[in-house]
Amino acid sequence: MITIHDLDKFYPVGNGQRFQALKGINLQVDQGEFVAICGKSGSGKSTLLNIIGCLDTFQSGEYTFLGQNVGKLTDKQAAAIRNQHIGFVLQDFSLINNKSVLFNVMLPLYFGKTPYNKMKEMALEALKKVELSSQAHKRANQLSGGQRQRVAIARAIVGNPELILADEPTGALDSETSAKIMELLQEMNDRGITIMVVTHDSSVANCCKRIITIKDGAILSDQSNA
Amino acid sequence: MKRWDCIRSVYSGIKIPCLLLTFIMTVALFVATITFGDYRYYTYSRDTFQKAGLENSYYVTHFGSNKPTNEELIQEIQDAKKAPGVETVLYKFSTNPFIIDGVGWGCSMMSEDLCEAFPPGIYRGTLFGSTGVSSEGALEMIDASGSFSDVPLGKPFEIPCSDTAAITAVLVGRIRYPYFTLDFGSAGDVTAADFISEFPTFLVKDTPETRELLRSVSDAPFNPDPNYFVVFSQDASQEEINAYLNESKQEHYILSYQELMDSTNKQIQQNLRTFLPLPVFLLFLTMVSLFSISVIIIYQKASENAIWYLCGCSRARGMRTIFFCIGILGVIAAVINAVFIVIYPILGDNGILVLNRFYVDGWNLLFILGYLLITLLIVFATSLLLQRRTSPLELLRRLDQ
Repeated sequence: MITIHDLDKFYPVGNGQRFQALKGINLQVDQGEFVAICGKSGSGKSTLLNIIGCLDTFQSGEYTFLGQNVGKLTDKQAAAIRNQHIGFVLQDFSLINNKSVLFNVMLPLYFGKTPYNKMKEMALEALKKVELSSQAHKRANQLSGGQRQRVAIARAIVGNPELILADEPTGALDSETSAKIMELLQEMNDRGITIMVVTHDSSVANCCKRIITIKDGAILSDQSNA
Repeated sequence: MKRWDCIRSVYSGIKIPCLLLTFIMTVALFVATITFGDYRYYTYSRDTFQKAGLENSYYVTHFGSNKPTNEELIQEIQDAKKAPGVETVLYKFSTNPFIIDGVGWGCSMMSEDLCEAFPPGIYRGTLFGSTGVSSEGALEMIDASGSFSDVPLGKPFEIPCSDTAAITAVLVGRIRYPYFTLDFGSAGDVTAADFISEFPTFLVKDTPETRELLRSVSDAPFNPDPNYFVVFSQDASQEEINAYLNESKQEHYILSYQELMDSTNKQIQQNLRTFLPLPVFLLFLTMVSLFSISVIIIYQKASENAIWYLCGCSRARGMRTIFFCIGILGVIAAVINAVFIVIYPILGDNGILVLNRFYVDGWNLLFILGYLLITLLIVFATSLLLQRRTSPLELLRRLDQ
């Protein structure tokens, strides 16, 4: 599903200088895997996740996603890939707080090809999977942290993506809620969705079947966690 | 529907400021449109006068206490025609022979020379034939009122002149709204605008044949306008001109063409100085308000836009949506005013809204288009500059922190 070969990422830091965030990344992720990307703060794990999610670009190397060479995509094409194949779950939930739960879950469908009259049905189905059907018409900012993260997961899966990228999905939650969120992600993985989680929390990493550790922009280790 | 939902989402939380801004822009542009229409009236009348080719003419008016009788005036005009160096005298008669739906209707009698100097603004049909009477003996008329649009051109019809008499007439042409016709009723320091009347009437050619036809059905007198133009030929010597003027000034107040044009230009400048500041101020205010609202909307919706990006909306599409949501406010104001300009003639025809000394044509629409383009440019530049400063990814990172 994901093949990354010798990928480098640089950020300009002014005065013509640049900082290398990722160095020669080589990575392959197959369909159905549950992968944790661990490392200290500033190691490049979120940068890697953003590139995998077609949110960010890279300077050299090759990245193929579902057979498509991502490096040659336009902004519009990258957006289409995000919309149709990738779901995101972020630490701060990234919901539109003054809109309803249902609207938030439907959001990816607004930018895709789903017919308008099917959108609500799909959104309610996604909410059912995360056990939040009863909250559909509440505003997002009326929910608890755990509920909001479940809404984010529902939004991530509403379009039936092949891949979910989660960046510190439990970072803003207590341990009990974190465990429930990870259970939910495990459920999604059991249904065949590939999950990649960025975390610095070892308890979260231990939920995953493969742990990739990044240090100073390079992969330090890539181990199975069977 | 999807696009509409996204657009509505942009407006959530800012509906009232946007509605208020649209209202203010519409009103400001309306004030500017009225001022421009006023300006156009004066420039239209000046241009009409300039095209008449009266550079060698003098406008002869009577002192207030010295009004001649109709017969004296007619004699005066005949004498002026015979004066050495005079090419023609432009004068206008009116008569009131018709009674339509119980209301008296008049017609303005246009001589051949008058038609040549000030051709009626025909937009449908033609001018009169040589005699002003058709081959079937019908009185040829031009509709200068807009009230007879249901009467087909070229088809004879009867107009009552009293309880017992009627005249057969035929409409040969129509002039368009605002139905400006000539008026030589003003005296003193007149300007070009004083020669224009918006009084609804018919135009009839002033010939012996038309007068005979009208006399045959009506006793209504032919009344000359109290003032007239004396046009000297190109070959007229200064002595001849001075001779006429010196004699005429003893009983008349006379304005040369140049004096008339100077007064006209002065009036236009004066009107601009008096009336222009308010609409300019209002339009400037709306531009500043639009810029402010644009900045507020872009910053307020930046994080929402970043979430759209996360969910698969391209950056270009996100920027286009914001640009549309802001730009449409100006478009609505422009469209409302453009519609007003287009339907104003209909409003005037039906007596719903009649603005004195107001003229609309394509220039008014161009003015509105110019305003719209400037508005969209401001919105586009603001959207582009502000949205490009921070990428959606940076915003997502900030939300995360």
